[in-house]
Amino acid sequence: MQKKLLLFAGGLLTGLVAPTVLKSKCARKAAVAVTAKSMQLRDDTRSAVESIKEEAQDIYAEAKQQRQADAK
Amino acid sequence: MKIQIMSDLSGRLRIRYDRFAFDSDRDLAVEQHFLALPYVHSARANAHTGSVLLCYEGDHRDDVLVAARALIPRDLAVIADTQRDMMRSIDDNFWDKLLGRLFGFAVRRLLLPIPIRNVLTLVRAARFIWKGLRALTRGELAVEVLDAAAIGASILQGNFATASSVMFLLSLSELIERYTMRKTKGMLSTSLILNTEQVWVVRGGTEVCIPIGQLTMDDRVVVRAGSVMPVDGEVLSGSAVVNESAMTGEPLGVPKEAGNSVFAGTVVEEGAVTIRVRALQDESRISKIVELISESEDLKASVQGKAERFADRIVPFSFLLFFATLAISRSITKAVSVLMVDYSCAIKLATPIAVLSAMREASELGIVVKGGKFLEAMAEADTVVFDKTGTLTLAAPKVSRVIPVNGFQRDDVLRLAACMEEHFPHSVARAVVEQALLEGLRHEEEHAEVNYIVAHGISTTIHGRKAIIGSHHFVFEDERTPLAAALQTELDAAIGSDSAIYLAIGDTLAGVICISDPPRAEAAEVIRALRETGVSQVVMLTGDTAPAAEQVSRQLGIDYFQAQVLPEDKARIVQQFKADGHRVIMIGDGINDSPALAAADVSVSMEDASDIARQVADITLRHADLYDLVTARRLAQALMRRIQRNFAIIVGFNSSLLALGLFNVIAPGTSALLHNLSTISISALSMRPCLPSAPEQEIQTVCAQTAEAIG
Repeated sequence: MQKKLLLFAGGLLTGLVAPTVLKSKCARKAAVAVTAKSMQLRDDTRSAVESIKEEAQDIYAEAKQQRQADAK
Repeated sequence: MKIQIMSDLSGRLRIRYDRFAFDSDRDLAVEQHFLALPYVHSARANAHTGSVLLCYEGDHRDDVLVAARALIPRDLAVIADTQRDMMRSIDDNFWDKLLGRLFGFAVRRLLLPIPIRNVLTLVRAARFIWKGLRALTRGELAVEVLDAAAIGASILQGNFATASSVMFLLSLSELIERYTMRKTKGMLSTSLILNTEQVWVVRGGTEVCIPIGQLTMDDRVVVRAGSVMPVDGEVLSGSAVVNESAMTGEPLGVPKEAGNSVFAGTVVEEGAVTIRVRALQDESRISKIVELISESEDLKASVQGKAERFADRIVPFSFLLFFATLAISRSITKAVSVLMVDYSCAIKLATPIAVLSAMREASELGIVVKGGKFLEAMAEADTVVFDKTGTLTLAAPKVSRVIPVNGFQRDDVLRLAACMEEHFPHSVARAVVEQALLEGLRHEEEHAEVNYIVAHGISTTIHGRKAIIGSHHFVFEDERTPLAAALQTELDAAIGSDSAIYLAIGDTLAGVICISDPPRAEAAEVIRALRETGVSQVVMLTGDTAPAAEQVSRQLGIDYFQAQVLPEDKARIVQQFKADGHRVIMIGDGINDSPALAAADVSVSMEDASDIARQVADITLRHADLYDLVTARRLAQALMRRIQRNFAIIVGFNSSLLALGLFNVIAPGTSALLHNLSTISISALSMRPCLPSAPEQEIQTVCAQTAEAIG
């Protein structure tokens, strides 16, 4: 019972304090930083995926040429 | 800029600049920059990795490297291209969403505490369950119901992890399905824009023929009689009579001169004008066409419609199996895995993709197909009906002789004929005009007023006298010009197996112009190849005379021909074949073939045909090569085989997944995963070309010939 009361009080407090915290400048900066990082993550992932695709294409092309050379 | 060589083969070089060397909107500029070099024949730039793939001919590796090092990509001006932008945004959109969902899933699974995770799962599950309920209330036992049941069952069991995994898989597969469809449709529309129509543009003082997709604003386009206005524009020079009935419903032609406006889709009846492009063809029009093609029930291949209906009908069985599994094994997870393996989404995805990809492949080969239904008809037909003039024969018949009668002069006959035939966009008319030009017979002073033009003849007034020119039927039967029997026999002997057009002035026969119309070089080969693909009957219908028809027919190995056929008779004959149970391909080019083209199961027209024939035809062959007919047939047959194969693979593979899951050989999660993987693979593989590429084809023919020689 004690524990539940404490949890309730904690939630109430968070609800009251949170808006001010969230509107503060450092929260804003944190949000911007996180967004920037995730965009960078997205670009990095895309680059990595495209690199793998290109490698696969190159390997395929080399294999084809190899086959043609062997056939001769 | 510094480069790194990623792959170095003979003729193929991939170089990489720094990853941030250029943005997505500059990749076209980079490609064009390299394509400007004479020995580079293809270039592909990828902004995400900063790499450029170059294919060059000959020994120019070092030259290419020098050019690459000299380039600073960021300094290039951006070249805009809406089609590429569209395709690129489809890709970017897909990747963003995919990464977003993967990331979201990872964060939820790894970071969120369980109670919050479960609440979120419930919230997302509500959406799926809502969709399932809505489908149920509509009375359909559709895939949404399957999904909702799988999720609902898991949650009821308290197994939130399974529910959220299922939802994750479903959202991924929905994303991939939508991406594949959009990409396929995008590729089809790009192909249509770039490849469909060609226009004559004035570049540097001469006329060049380019595809419509390459037109830019303020280009000067030349539009001649018999052609459709490709874009909205303003007349700069020349004069023409334009039929605007497509827009205004007004049947009479409107004269247009310098300063007047003209509109896309209207037809030039007479004359020729040079217009300045004021508005380009709308890309959204092409996208609408693609949407229409892929969605329209009329145009869908019936096998596609059948597959979709079959897929829908199977859903209730999945449910039966679900309840049966539940009853027998008392394990909700197993029962749920049965629900996850559904045939319908695999079939519904793979079949349209196969059809659309085949249409795109056809478009790349210069064969424009207006709907999946026509590819199907192409594959199943057993009878091919050819028009003679312009289809089986060259589009450029030549005048072989001019026979004057009744005291007229030979040169006068030819000159007058040319003067009248100028107005007629028919290959025979062109032959007459060319011959007159060749002989230097000019007729500026004598302008013929055109009275009327019908399928086989023109009636005009020259110097106050009525002059008519046209086929035997037109001149003697329709217009009732007198012809003595003796003269008739004499003329028949002189004409022999050529085609003949007759000129009569003031109700007296003035002369006969003999046109020799040799068949196309590839015609015999085409007919032989068509028989190889299973055509049992090759028919030729022509308005020409019997001797000419017979000669061509013998040369080409045609089963059955009819000469002196009028347009409405052509249509009737085609209907008769259909009534006899045959499926008919009709290929023609003239205005007089339209009724027959419309009557056939699938109609084909060549590029050098009149615009009207091309509008009516279901398939247009853009290169003036009759062999494309065989290519279209082979492509269509390969497509049908592929659809049947896909069907068999989907049903077989998924059934075995079901069986394995039921007998506990594989876990439910594994079977769901394999089902999704197989669906994606089959769909992706359906995008491959239906026909082997040219080098592979050569190898195949060589092997076949060797085999024949040995065996």
